[in-house]
Amino acid sequence: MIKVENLSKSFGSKRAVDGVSFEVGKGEVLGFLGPNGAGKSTTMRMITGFVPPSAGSVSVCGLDVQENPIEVKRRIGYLPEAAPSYTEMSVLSFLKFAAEMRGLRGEGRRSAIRRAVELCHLENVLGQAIDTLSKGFRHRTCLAQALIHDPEVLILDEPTDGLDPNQKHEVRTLIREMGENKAIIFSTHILEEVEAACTRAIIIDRGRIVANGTPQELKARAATGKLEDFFRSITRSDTVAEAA
Amino acid sequence: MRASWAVIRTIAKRELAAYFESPVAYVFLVIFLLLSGFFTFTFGGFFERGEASLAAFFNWLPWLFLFRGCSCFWCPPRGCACGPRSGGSERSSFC
Repeated sequence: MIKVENLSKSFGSKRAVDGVSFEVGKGEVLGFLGPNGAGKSTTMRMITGFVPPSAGSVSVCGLDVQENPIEVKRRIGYLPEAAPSYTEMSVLSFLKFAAEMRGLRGEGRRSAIRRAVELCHLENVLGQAIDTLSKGFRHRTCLAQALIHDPEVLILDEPTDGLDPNQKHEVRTLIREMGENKAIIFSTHILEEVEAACTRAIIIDRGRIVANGTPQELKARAATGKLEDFFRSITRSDTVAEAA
Repeated sequence: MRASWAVIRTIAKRELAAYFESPVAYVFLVIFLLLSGFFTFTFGGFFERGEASLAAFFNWLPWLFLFRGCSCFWCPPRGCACGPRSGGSERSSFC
């Protein structure tokens, strides 16, 4: 459902993403791994059409992101990295706004909000202004916004960032469940998350894909059989890259 | 096309409502009323003109819109997408 071909992005002379290609089908949950600055967020932004690629193409559900930007955005639910929202609005009015933006009206809107609130466990904070919420709730509010129109494709940029262990577990379970009939890409730094929720993982380092396979396959490639050791063996940390 | 009008309406509604989340909208309403009254009656000499026209009011109105409008941009309400306070790269990409 998501097809990325030779995607590249340069910011001035810096090549943030360099010839990335992969595919994600329905029912797949793709974990996007990589050190900071590897190009994960940039790749996701290009898939959602937030920034145009310097070269290469992305198609979502058979539609090119550059040629049919509106049609594509309709099919995508996107949780950006910092979980932005209108901080002065209450959770309920923010979700109403998000649903209306997705063209939902009347009963359709009500049931969509009910479903999103239930999935993200927001029942107790509906009337609260978003800037009075804790980071975890704020993140979940933004996640609810991404799920509200029941999209076929979900792009989640660090969905578990800033959540406590219980909430992390809930979000992972949610991703795994939804992954059964959607195409999901999510990025993370937490390696056990990949094992818990993904059907496939891609490791990206300095803009290039350095590994692509199921979590089991990747683990098997490490001498110690641990995903973390494998990750460390094929990516370089920021400081090392700087010195080189 | 119909869909995009619906979206525009939704955004406009939200942005307008954002002014009323805090007292900002009321403050500006009151300041506007006070200044327009001052310009019409004191500065514009509404009664001294001795004619049945609203010229005194309308002559000053453009200036009022100009400067009150500008100060609206300078201190937008919280959560206004273009405000300097909103910050964050993701937010500005909504703009």
